[in-house]
Amino acid sequence: MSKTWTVTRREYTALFNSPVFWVLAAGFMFFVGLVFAIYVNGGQAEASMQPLLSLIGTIMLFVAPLLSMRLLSEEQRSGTLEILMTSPVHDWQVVVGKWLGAFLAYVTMIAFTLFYVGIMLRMATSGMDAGAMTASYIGVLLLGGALLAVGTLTSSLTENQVVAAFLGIMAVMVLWFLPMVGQMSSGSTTKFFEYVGLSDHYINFGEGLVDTRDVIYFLSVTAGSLYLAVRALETRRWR
Amino acid sequence: MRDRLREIAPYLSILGLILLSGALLMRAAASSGPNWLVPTLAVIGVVLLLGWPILRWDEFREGLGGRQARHGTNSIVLAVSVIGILAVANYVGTLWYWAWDLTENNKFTISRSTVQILENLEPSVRLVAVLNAQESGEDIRTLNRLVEQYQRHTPKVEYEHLDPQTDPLKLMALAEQLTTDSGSEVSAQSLARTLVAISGKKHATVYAFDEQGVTEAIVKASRDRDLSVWFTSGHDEIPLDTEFVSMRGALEKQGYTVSKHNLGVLTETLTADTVDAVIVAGPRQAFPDVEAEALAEYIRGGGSVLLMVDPQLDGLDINLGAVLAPWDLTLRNDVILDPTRAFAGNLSHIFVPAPELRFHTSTRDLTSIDSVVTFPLARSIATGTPSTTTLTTTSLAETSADAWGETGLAELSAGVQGYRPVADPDEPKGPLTLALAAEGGVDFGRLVIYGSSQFVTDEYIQAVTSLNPALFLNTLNWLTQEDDLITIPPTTPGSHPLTTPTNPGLLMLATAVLMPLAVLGVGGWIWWRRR
Repeated sequence: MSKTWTVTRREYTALFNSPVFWVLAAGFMFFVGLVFAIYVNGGQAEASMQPLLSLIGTIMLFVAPLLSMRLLSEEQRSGTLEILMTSPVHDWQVVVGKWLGAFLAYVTMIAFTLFYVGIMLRMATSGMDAGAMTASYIGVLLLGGALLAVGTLTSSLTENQVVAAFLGIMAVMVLWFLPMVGQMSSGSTTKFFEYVGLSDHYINFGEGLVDTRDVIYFLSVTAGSLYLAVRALETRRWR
Repeated sequence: MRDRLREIAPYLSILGLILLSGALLMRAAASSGPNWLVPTLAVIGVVLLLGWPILRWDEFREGLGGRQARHGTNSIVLAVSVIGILAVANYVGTLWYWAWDLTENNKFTISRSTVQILENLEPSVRLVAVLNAQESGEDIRTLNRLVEQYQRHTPKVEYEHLDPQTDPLKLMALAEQLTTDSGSEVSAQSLARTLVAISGKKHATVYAFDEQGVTEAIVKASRDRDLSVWFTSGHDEIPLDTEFVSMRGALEKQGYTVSKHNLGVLTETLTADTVDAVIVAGPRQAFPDVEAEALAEYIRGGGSVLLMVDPQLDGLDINLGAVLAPWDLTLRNDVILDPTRAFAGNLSHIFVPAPELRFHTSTRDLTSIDSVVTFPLARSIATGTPSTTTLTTTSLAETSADAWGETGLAELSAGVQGYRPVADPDEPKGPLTLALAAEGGVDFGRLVIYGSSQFVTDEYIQAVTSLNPALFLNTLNWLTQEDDLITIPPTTPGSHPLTTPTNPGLLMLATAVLMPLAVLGVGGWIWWRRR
């Protein structure tokens, strides 16, 4: 576990020292800040972070793959992956450690939105629905974890960061819009696509519901993607 | 020729894969092309796909037995196994799951009264939601969540969703079934955007997809008889069609048939078989003796009456003593003034906190709600000794101990400037009864009296937010012995309005410019420090 944490710390530090993270974070804050200002200035608005957090989920479909694109592809491109794989660290510790580092950077980015919560609390005449907001943030974190895991997988498949980002965005888009495919059919096929798609699971959190089915789903996507990334790394040993 | 074929073998296999994929897609899309096209494409695709292994068998065999093939196969098998395990875990997770409703008003948790209805449900009920998936996605999601909760409390609720676009045949079959069972024409078009509850040959259709709508549909479809309510007329009562529209609508939503009748011109005797409940709403003329006696006889025969009688500032006696006599009740000729519970500072506008409502079947679900019941102008009800021990009364709402029944009605109605009513020694003192329920055991009817009728008029309900509508509906459901329908108000979303920012431009600057610049600044400083 300490080796995983070492990789995590290293990755988190690398992300923090990387201009990519700060440019992404600034862009994220600009977009969210703009929408926030328009929302509260619109008149008759409710003191609720849910509309904003719902939007953040959509933004993360693009931000998470960009955050994770360099995790493994950069190591492959620079040749340091072989060094890493010959060191006394298991492949899964490398993958999980890197994913965790990116996840902590993601959490840092989301934590910046607490600034808007503070503004809203000051402007609210009768407080906010803390329970619903908590559920929304839980959803944002679970979604981010799953998206970063998919990005880690695509990063393990190529040494080109741009290709990794592109593949990551395509993969999460497919997962996000799968329920719409299900609407073209009926019965159990529709139910299958609705379950496999990301969007329906995320919406429940946004409305204040924490359902174990949604939690299991996001954790499964995360675990499954990270496992496949480990398998992809392993192929390098015998290719 | 053979060498040429060996050379192009990989491309043949790729072409075969494309043709096979196309055939499968065409099969899934159920295209309307010729029947031979899909199988032909599939066969050609399979043949071409086998081109590579067959034409380069030696390489293929060497590859299969090689180290990469073994490791690769192993990896694929492991990956598929793990994905399979995760899929099974998700499937099991859909069978046993928990959901926590973290909203402050428990927006997604069904009420206790719905749970009671479900647990007491006798016949099975099939719910069919006819909704277009593309237009009504949110309604479908809400219904799915609701029905999951309903099915946790009873296995007697089945649910099906029909999309008019993808399930037209099933929709037509449903319309035909409903037409046959009900004996009246039901078209498929009329079922669009509805929720139909079917129980045996009965069905009920609602157009709301929230808890109230779904529960209403279940109750209406599973009820073995229709309930009727009469509002009396002919005594200058509050007009049902113009001032009681909200309450009428609420009663009809619960499955009551509501109508107006003048008891003085009835051609048949009023009995419990004629109508389930009679409501007297704010009469301003006295009841003739024969009508009062008809109401009294109706109660003695098992009928139920709801009296809502306002204070008569001119001292008029509404003459309903015959109805009240079995329980020795009296409608005092006073106006209740309560300095402790004066709503908006008006002594005669009285509020009763919901937790202080007296315990009764009709109030038990209201006492836990942080709200009030209000009476804009009310008279007190005096209780005595019922004629038999089987006749009982229960107070529903009372004033505070500081209230009194002002009998100086002339001064009150004159509105003399500077007049301040003071409790006289001979005037009734609090706590005074504002509302009361009475019953008489087996075969005897039920009676509920309110010392006011204005508390549930349309104008008042719109002006004052309170539990008045819920209390009214609950007491009527108790009167008709539809205890399953004792309701609590639908959960309304909490209101947390935002104040308008005093400087919108500054807010926009801070959130959309300064904050991102600050983040960039931190990043720039870190980068500069590392240079």
